[in-house]
Amino acid sequence: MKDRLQAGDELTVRRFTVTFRGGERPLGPQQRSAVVLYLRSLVNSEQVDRFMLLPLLAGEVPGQGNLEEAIADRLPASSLKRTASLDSTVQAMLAGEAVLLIDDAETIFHIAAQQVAKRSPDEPEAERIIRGPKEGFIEELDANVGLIRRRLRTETLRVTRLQIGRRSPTHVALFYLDGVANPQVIDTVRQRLGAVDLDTVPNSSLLQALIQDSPWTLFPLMRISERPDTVTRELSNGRIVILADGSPSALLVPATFWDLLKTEVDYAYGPWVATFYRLVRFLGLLIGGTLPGLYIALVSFHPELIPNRLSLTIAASREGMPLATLTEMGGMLLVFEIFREATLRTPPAIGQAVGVVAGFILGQAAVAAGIISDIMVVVVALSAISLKVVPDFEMVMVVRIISFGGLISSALFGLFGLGLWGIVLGTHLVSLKSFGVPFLSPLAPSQSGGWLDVVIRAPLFLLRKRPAHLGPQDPTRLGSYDQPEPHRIRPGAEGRNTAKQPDGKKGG
Amino acid sequence: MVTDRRQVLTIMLLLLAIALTGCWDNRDPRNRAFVTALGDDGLLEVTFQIPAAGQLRGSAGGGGGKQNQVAFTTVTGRGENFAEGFARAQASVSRELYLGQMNLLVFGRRLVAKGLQPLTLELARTPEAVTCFYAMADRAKEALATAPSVEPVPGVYIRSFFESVEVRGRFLQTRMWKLYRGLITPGRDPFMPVMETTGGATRLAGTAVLRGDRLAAVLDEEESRGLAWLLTGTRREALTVKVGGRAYALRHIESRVTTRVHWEGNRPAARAYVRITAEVSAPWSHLDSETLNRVEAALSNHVQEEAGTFLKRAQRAGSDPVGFGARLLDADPWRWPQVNWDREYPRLHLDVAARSHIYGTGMRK
Amino acid sequence: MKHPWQLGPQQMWVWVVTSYLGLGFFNFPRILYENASSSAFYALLAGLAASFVSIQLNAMAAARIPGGSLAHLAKAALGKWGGIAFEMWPFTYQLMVMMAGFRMVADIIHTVNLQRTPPAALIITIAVVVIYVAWHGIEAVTRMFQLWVPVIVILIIGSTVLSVLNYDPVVAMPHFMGWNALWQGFLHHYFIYGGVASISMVLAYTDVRRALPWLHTGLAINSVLLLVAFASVATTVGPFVARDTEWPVISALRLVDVPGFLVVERVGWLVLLGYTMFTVLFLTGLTVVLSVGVTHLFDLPDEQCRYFIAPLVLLAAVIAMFMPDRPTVDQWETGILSYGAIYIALVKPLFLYIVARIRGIGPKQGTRSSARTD
Repeated sequence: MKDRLQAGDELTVRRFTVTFRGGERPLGPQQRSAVVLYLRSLVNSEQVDRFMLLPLLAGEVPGQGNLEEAIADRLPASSLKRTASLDSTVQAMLAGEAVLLIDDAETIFHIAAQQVAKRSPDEPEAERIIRGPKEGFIEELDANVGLIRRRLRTETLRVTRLQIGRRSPTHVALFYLDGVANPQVIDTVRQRLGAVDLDTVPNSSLLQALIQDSPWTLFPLMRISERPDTVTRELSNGRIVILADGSPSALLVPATFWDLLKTEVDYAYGPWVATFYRLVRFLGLLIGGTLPGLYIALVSFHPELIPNRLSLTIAASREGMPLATLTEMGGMLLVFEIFREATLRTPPAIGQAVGVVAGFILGQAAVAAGIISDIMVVVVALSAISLKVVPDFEMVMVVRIISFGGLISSALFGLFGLGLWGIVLGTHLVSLKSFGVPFLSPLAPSQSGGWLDVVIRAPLFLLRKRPAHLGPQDPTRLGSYDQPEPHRIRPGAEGRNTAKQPDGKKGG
Repeated sequence: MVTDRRQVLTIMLLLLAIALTGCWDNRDPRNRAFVTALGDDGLLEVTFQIPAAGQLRGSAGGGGGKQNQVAFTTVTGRGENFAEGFARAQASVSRELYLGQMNLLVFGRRLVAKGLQPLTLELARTPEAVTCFYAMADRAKEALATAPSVEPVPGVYIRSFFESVEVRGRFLQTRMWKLYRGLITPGRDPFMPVMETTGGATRLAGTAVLRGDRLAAVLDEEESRGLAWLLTGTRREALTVKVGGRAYALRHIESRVTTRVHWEGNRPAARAYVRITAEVSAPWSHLDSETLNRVEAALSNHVQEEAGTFLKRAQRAGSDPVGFGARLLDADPWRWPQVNWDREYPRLHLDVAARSHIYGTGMRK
Repeated sequence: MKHPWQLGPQQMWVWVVTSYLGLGFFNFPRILYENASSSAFYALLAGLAASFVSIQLNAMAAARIPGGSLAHLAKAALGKWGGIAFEMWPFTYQLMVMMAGFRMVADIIHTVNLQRTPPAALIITIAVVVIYVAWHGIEAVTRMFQLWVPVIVILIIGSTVLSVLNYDPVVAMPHFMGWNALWQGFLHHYFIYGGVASISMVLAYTDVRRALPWLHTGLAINSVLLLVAFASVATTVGPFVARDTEWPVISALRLVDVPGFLVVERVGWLVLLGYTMFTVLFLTGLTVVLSVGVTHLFDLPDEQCRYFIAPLVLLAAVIAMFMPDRPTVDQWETGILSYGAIYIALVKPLFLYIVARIRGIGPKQGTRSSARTD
């Protein structure tokens, strides 16, 4: 065993002797040597002492006939498992179980006594909301399953566990609501997960890259969330959720482009507020993606489209600038990305200072020195800030790359080039699929009423159906919307009367 | 496999496209000279007005620029036609003359007297020129070189001047397309405001009406107002009507004009119906219904008079900027070829029927 | 039995609207006024009626051979080689429409937007984009249409309604100037017929009975759009300017007189841009139709149409690039396109229908796959 594991110090070996009190046997008390093995880094030794060593050492084990049964009876652990092969024992030890070997016995006992450094289920950094639950997934799969199960108390919640990883098997759990999720999609997900032949799975994003439909595409074809409430909602919409052990990010499939722009906040407020902020998000995406190209197109190709005075202002700001517009814009965007990366890498304590130096002082100095024009700074900053409204972090970077494409195409053909770039991108987007569901789904191909939860966020009583493009088995989400008429409450006497009669049958 | 091949093919094709193309039309603003106004004096002289962007920056930034700094230059080129004048002018500027931001086209009086057709036919190929304002001046070069008092650039000045409400009432807002329309449409003649440069300041004085593409007459201010009444889109801030020795100030809200053409025997006749809506701005006190009727009648009369004065003058000059002829053509395309409009128009029976409606008669009691 | 290269009936109207908008929407009041002068309005009505008739005729002919296209019908009715020869002409016609489309887009962009960019570079760039989009199949193309059409239709209606507010019946309801003028105007609906002809080709491979209502809806939308555009042009610029202006609808949009509102001056320009985008999409659709048409003509599986996309587009683009820019060439092109359109839209389906009737080819007698070998 020591040779197999090569764990050195980490492997704890405790030898001891178990005394069996022979029942009818004439032999009397029988003594067998036993050994408990575990990896100290993974196992809570106190639990091993309490549930494995103490019961066996406390006195004689009543051993009627079968010794193994006797030991199993004696060990007060619910997770007691028995194996016979050495291989699975090694695997179990690597998974954090303590192993009990007894002389002459064929069975090997193990109990789960994992000790994992756990984080409390804090609210995820990237998906903060003001109103609503503040829990987030953690790195431990079982806890995450618990977080979901606690919210979906239905037997139709199916959790399938798979082991992925040729070299280091990692538990991956697949969630869906039976009778809601589309069985064909479930099947596809299962098959794709089964086909993954990765040797280690340190993070669920690796799975994402391996099971998504178009491996070449720029766009993330899955939604990632660390929020149990989001996951629960999507499960009940008919989506399938994949969670991997050791990673707090749940993969929600199938995803559409519009899902990447949704946040939990959309459902926390009323329809008007949610719609407004959803539109703001679209606008931000549009500005962030097209503004650099648009600026080049308007300034260098079609200044007649700019209002009169603005065009003179821009011309004035470009006066005497050493760099061409395209170079300036491209360079600024790149420099901005460098700033961003640099700020991410610096510790938060000085990150603030680095950000100020990079963004503010450097920009100011560059403008003052006459290297870049001030309007350019405005444009770059605006396009960068607008992108921050997009909730999906990967999407932000994708749109940034897209905006470079727009920059180049408008440098070639002006607005016409930008339009062609739009067509190329649009074609790519409409032909993408996420587990068989078209990526731009409720809009193209259009489903009647699909736009109610895409462009706007309609009041919930209008969203009675589950998203049709996911092909749910049970299309209805909200059965009927019959709000009982309120009781007529008259001020004064009536109020007192109802107070007297707590059953409240009076009135209305 | 298919995906791979498709991607490779696409990337190759896109690269090919990029390799085949260049940034032909990519012009940095640094290399453009934004022409804000263009003057053509005929006599082979074209003047361009270019704001000096670098100086504008100072004034835009606040504090940097001096108050009376001249923020523009003019460039003049001579040539057989517009294109040649343009080329000559271009030769004397380091940057590319760019007409996309042109606000104003000034025609020299001599050019208009000679005929606009050659120039407009050339300008029609310049799509940027369609929406800019145009005016006539004694000498376009001078008009463009005069520094206005408020705006740093005269082209911008004229534009905002034209767009101000009071000016629009007196002188019609004229965009180049209206000139084109007047030149192209049979039975409709173009008109243009007249710019006057006196004592270093530019102002609008009167309207020039054309016959065909040539100058027919220059209307004075009253006649210009008459023309403005007959063309929709006018809006005037202040009108004063005198009834019974008392002056009533009215604020014009809107007016609508319809022209009808009918036949009086064998000859066409036309009548313009003007409906005016106005509001009382002074006196403050309440008007009774009789006074109101009298004010309305007085307003109608006033409009009819002004329009009538204009019509007489226009008929004498043989110019039809209102487009009675075009109306006849629309209404009766069969009989149009039989009418010799040029001969018929000066002796046409034209009249104006104005009807006014006034509201806001004062505070209700 | 829907395969990836087959158009569904719901997507049909999107296609119809686009093909109309894509070719000639902005240009077409000028063509009408040029050829029909004051009869333009009647010519417009006659043309619209003819489009409806054309769809009906095509549907009638296509109903003779369920599950097959007109090419299959032609082959069944006239024999294999006869059918191929017969259907070759519409095919060539479509290719010419594509060429005209390339020339037109390049021309607009070149004259209005990018004066220094050589048209050849524009054509080749558009061709590359068209190939890219068409390569993704008809499904992607129609989805693109679905994304664009509502936006553009709202934009066009929104901006033209502004000018139609000043609608004047005396101007926009012109007079009947004789049959010759009417016929000339009718004849020069050619771009419209270009749309119709392509529809007839699409009709060839959908379930006709289900597609028909959608087609009519699409046509109705187009009729409204065209009438609005026509009225807008007539009201704002008048027939004489319309005859003289290259893009009268654009001028009309540009000239909507909203004082102080600078954007409107520039809206026309932006609409022009949207229009060119539309033409690119239309060319893409046409490419797909053509390449599927080739497979139908030679009884290949539909999926193989991909191999024809690039050659067809490049052929049309290269010819369009090297076509001399001479008035005589334009005249020839216009003549062929307009007479050819009438032939394809009205005469051909009628002829096929009659022949099929006489020879007894129809859903009752023939089996489903009488003409389909794949």
